[in-house]
Amino acid sequence: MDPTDVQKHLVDVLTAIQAISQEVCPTLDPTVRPAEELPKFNSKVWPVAAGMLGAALGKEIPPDVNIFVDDATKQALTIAQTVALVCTLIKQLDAQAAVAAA
Amino acid sequence: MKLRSENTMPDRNALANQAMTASIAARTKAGLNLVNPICIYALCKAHQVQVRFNNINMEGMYQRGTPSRIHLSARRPLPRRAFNCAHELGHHVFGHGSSIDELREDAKENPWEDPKEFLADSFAGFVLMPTLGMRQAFAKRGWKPDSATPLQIFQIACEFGVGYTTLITHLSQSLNMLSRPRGTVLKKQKPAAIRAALLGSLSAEPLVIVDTAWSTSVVDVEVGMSLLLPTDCEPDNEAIAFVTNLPEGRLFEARYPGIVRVIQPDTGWAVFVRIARKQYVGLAEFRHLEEDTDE
Repeated sequence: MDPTDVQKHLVDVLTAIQAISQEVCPTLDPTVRPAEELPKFNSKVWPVAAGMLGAALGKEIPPDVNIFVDDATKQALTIAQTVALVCTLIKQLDAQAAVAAA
Repeated sequence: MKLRSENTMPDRNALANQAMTASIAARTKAGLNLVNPICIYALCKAHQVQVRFNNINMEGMYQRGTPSRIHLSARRPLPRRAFNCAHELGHHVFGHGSSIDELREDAKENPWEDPKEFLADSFAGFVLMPTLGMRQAFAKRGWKPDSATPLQIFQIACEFGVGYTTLITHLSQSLNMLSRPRGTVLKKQKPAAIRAALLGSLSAEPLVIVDTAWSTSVVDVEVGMSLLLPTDCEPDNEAIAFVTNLPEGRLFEARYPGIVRVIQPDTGWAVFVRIARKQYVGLAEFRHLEEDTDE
């Protein structure tokens, strides 16, 4: 999965969510931490965003995986960190699918 | 088969999160977006669960098998049937065993103390009233949950096919979009009184209010129900009959089963109204079939 593609789709999803909620959306560069910096982008919406991103990428991102906050440190992730996490996740899921199909 | 389980109650927030993520996965698996209202019976079909309405006095029953089946009472109001169906689908997606949910009034004093029932109820709430859908419904009408009037809350409940009180509970307890004190105040107003204020008289028949901010192309009602449509709307057949013009729109009554297209000629705004037989008994997918006059 190309990180540039993932980032583009992630930014589209975040922009769409803020538009649907009629909330402000700042410029979404890779250093932005959505969970901290986007108004009302809270834990009720993170799994929705993950689901929308998965649909946009044509991959199933498990909605119980938090892609916006680090589970261990509870720190909000930057867009760049989320993109890296999603790429790793998809790689793992693809590998599991390949094993299952073999 | 058992009547509810007797497990001890784990953390409610964790269960609610589990229900929310399961609702997202269920919609995604069926190719549905995570915003708009859905037809719960179509979602069941996408999950290969057969839904049947029966003339039995109960809430719902889930029967695990091939195929799995959901049985619902045709005697319940339409929004309650939808919620019961979503609840039973919750049992299905969580892999619970077959179960019967009897009359809610007769059931255990507090069913939310049962983790499986809490999960199924929370799943039903999130799958029918998704977070973003709720936000959008208020935002696009320029309303805010905490200052919304009972009529406005009722209108959004109509759009999502859920009960007035169900929506208030979901907004205040699951989504934190509505303060609990305001929720308590809103719950004191009853749908019958809201209908009466709007129509100018008490009516036993349920009412669905449809406005031009309605986010899908389909409206589900059953024969006998009243339908308040935007001003100047015209139906393309006689399945719904004009009753009167009100300041808020045109009032119709659903007369015959079937599907009617309604259009507002000046704007081009249109919806399909699907009318089921009153208290229809049979498979959910056939509920809008017109009556065969040759029978």
